[in-house]
Amino acid sequence: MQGQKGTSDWATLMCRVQLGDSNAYRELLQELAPPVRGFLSSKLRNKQDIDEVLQETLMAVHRARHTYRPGTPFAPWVWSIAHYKWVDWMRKQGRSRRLNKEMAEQNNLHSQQSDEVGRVFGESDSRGYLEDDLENALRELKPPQRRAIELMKLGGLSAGETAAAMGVTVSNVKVLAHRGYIQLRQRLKGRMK
Amino acid sequence: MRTKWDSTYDLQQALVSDVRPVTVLPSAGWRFSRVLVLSILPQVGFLGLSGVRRDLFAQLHNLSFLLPALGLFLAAVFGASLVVRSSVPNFESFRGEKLVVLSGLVLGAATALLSGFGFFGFGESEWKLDSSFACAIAVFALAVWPALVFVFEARRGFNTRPKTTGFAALTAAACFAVLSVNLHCPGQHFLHLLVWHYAPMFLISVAGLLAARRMLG
Repeated sequence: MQGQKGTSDWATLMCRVQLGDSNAYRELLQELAPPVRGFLSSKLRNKQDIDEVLQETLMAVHRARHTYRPGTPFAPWVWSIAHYKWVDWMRKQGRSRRLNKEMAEQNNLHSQQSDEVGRVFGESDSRGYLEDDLENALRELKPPQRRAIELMKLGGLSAGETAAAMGVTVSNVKVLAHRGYIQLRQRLKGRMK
Repeated sequence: MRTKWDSTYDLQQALVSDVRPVTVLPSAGWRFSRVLVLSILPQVGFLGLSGVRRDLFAQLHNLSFLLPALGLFLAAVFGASLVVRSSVPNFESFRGEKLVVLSGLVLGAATALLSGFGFFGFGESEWKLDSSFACAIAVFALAVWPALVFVFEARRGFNTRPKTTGFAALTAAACFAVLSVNLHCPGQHFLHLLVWHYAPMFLISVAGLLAARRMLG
């Protein structure tokens, strides 16, 4: 999201959209599309699927625009819509079988990041964990910790972007991710024994 | 509006041309107060017309009556709050909130079951069920209006967690209904309570879970 406006600008644009300002809406939709596409790219591999879910997300933003309350953080609002649309799309695409397949593909994708994760875990060969246990270990984390790790490490967002998406401060995100890594390391080591 | 677009750019143009001023959803506090008043009013009307049970004041000292009543009331209130707050996208539930709604659902049945086995000062009850269909019908009938109020309120927002919202909506409605029936019906036998009061409540809650996506999607 570098080079883009901050989420407070998005909030201002949305307030103008709620008043019926079409220029603000055009600007907002143009601003939103790339980061939402980035988020979806971390979840889906097929470009057509990404476009489809992106379009559904933008339509959902359109239908839900009256539910955004001025003065509240905009990023969590829009990310929860994008996340919901992704989950909904996965459900429609054959529920758990498809979900598992995508997750397996995601794991393959993320195995490229295994060196970094391995460094965090203090293990040189973490690919085995990633394939088999990381998903389960992630699921056992507290939701904020899991979300921070998913957005930063699996979604490729920066700490600032993750903070904006979660509606917390950057330092909070770092603490959540750090504690999450510790928990993950303990759980994965426990599974190895 | 169409649901498929050749390009995201086309969609953006269509959305921009469709933009109109919208009324922002009122605050959660205001919406919560409104649904609470709207869903309690018919219960008060029912009790006003049909009257409360004669032994109500005596029952207020009875734990097997008071515990479920308190659980049902809390579950209904928390459920209503959950419906209102979960019908906007950036919803975060409080710790233990869903547990309160669930506990309201099981507390009544658990208390009735325990009293059937001799707890709460009752002797072990006879396993004989009366045929009080009227109580079950009253539970279903009294749950209709609050359920409509909650579902309508949820549909005014945008649900990113339809199952949570749907389940909370119908559970809260059922809890209000059973609470009213408990305040009216003098039946104390545990099988009567289980079958004619709490079983309909479970059915309504399960229906909320199963029909959530259809109702709120």
